[in-house]
Amino acid sequence: MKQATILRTDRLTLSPPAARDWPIYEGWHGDDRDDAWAEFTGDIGHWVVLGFGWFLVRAGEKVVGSVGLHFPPAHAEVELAWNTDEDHRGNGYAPEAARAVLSWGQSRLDVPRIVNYIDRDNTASQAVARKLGATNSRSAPSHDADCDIWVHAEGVA
Amino acid sequence: MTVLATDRLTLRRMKMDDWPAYRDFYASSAAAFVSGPADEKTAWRMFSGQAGHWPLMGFGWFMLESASGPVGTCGLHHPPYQADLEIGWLTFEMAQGKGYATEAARAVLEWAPTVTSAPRIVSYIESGNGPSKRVAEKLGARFDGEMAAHNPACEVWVHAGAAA
Repeated sequence: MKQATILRTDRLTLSPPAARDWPIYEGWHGDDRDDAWAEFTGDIGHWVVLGFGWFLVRAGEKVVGSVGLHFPPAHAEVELAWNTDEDHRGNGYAPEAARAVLSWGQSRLDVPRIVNYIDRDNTASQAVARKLGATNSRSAPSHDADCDIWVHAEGVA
Repeated sequence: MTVLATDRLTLRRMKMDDWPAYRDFYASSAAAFVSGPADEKTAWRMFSGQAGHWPLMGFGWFMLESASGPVGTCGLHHPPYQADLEIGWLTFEMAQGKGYATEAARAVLEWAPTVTSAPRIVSYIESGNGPSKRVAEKLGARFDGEMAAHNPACEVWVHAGAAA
């Protein structure tokens, strides 16, 4: 089997979800293990069928969130997305990890551009997108009228 | 990479090219007995989840490919929090009634002992799903009144020889 893609930044290690990460997904989903299992296997399957996907972000041994390139068939473009676990917010982990994933995606994926779909009320994520150099197109993607498409220019990460 | 062959089918891992047929099946009323009909988002969760089962567990669902293309899926499924290993199957609408599910499931049951030592293999089948119950019967599975713990609408069909 192909070696997993590992990305490293100053403080963080990013790796695709693997068997050892099941308890992390269980933790994210509380009591709903069917949901946890669907997301866990789905995130791994995204890598299997598309060759890219979500990374778990670790500071030391601890998982602090996830960052990924997400491209379900209902979405028009490849999305760079991030989540930081509540206990680890305010440390700048999301932009640090997302910058590494964006740069990896831009060099590996044959797509015209990478975008973020960000809810108009989600000011925290908008701030991350700005830090990464994305610009708000002020148009909504077809799959979600509450979001704006933020666009990353090639090579600015 | 595991590939199984039967008289009429190749059982292989799923790939992105299989997605349109899978999505269209789940959008149809024919998916009613297998948690459908389902929208694109839900179908993608199942499709990507089935693809992700393989690297985690070393087994999973196969796409069934006939000479004319994909006709359905069949495979082994075992979330770690469920007691039993499950064998499941589904046949896309235009390919139903040709015995493909039985043919594929027989091959999967034969292969199962090489990848798992589960004490029994079961199929969860909705009570009203006559065609699937007939497949289970042809495979030699038995239903003794037990209903699935996770879904009271589903009968538990137990396959003989699973621990072989």
